[in-house]
Amino acid sequence: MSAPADIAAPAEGEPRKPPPVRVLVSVLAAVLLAAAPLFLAPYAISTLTRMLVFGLLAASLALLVGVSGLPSLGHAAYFGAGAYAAGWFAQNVSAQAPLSLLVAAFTGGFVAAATGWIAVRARGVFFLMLTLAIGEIVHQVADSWESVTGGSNGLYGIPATEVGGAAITNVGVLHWYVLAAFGGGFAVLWAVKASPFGAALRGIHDNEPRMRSIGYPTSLYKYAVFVVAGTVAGLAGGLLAAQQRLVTPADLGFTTAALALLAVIIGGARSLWGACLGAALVIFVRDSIGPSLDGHGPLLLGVVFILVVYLMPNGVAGIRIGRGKGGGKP
Amino acid sequence: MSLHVRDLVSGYGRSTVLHGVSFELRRGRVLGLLGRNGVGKSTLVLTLAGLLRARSGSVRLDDRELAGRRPDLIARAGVGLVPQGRRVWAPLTVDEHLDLAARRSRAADPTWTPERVFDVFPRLAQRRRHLGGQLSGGEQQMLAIARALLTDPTLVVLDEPSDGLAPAVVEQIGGMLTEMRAAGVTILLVEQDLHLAFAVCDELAVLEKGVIVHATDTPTFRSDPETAHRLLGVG
Repeated sequence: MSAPADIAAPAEGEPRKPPPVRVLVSVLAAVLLAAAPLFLAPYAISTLTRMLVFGLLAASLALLVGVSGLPSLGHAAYFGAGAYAAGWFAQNVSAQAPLSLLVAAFTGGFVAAATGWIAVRARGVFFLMLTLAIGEIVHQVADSWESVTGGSNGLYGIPATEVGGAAITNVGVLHWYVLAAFGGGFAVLWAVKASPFGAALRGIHDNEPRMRSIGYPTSLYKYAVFVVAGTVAGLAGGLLAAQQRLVTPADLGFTTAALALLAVIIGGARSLWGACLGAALVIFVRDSIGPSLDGHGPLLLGVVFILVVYLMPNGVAGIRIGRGKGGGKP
Repeated sequence: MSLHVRDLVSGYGRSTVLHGVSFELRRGRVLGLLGRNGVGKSTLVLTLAGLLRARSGSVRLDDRELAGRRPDLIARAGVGLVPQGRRVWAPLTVDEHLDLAARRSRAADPTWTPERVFDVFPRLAQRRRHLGGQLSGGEQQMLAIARALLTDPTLVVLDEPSDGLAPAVVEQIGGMLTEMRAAGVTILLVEQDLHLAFAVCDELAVLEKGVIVHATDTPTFRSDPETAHRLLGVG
């Protein structure tokens, strides 16, 4: 591609270019996340780790909802499938470091591939209902397949992840492990979003018939992104198993799926890092503030949600650093 | 013979809009399709592009049957669509539009490149990094035409490209149509603007109540203002 020739000053609107400020903020965030175990108390560290796990789930959902226009209410199914697979694998085969995560990612992608083909053929509210149904079916399977999942008791006693024979029991080290995997998963999502495939997805989101009329088999593209998002959700599930060392049917239930969607909307839907911030807020309210409110955490989340939707239509990510307004419709 | 449409029937739900449309268009020729509002012009465009399923009849492009096929396959067979109301992608930059289209180009050595489009539409070159939603109506129309051309189509169907645009911009669009014709692209131009249609079309056809009621070459059409007035309500 040749260099853009800025011949005349544009009459209206701002040209899009990634400002260096955003790169700086990303680097700063990565450094802070990596340094956190050095100055935070153990409980705070594990909350931060949980934010990363849930953030990766939310970011994978943002790729579906915000980038591709596929609002899924069943995304926790792939998260949970990955978590169970990782837990089962660690218990029965090996707890060696990246293995159970790979198994989790593969399982998430596999379940998404098996169920997504039906879902991506539906549109709008029908897609929402289909994914909800798929989520409930997978939840039922987890609840009743006792020999593998432990039924409603869940899968417990998952061994700690091992690196070179030594088990990771220190919360700080576990945080680094999760952070590294989060970085990998997030990089995949970011690369997909930034690629020509990602541009095609944004085109499909904005106007699918126009994508078809320049020759794109759009159902195939939606299916592909569904599987990618399911794979990354599965990876996040593997991280959940590594941290909690317990997986219950609730982890792939409707509440988890709805919280993930809530995080995505709070984050601004189109933005991957916004979804991570939304996830952090959701976890913070649920785990850190909720317990001191006599279990009224969900109520507070509802209030936060309403405030965000009314006051920040572009979500947390709508508060732009060094960037003009996002792509609003004319 | 390039495009051969025969007895095409199409519509929405239980209502039939096209009651058997037939016409032929030779390679490299420009056919202007005229008609009042609501006679089925846009329905014909959507049906040709496959976005609306033909109930019966045939659409053959270079001896390939297109009626009833998926829109993406029709595009791959060489039909480029410039839809009514432009419909560019608001959250994508001009460069992204052109890149997405070029990736689905049917030719290994494409006739149409962004540079060639920019030669005709220099305004677009200045807007490469702007979002579709930030462009003016005229720029969006240029982009919609460019998007269709970069897939290297043999037939381009344009649905009212002059709609709502300033005369100077319409002139540029007309210039592009002339350039396309010179490059051997077959064009079906649905238009209400008779000046533009007269300027670029070899042949004209009038659609009324879902059938073509009048078809002739442009000079003959112009020499018979009475018929034109009767069919279109204009001089």
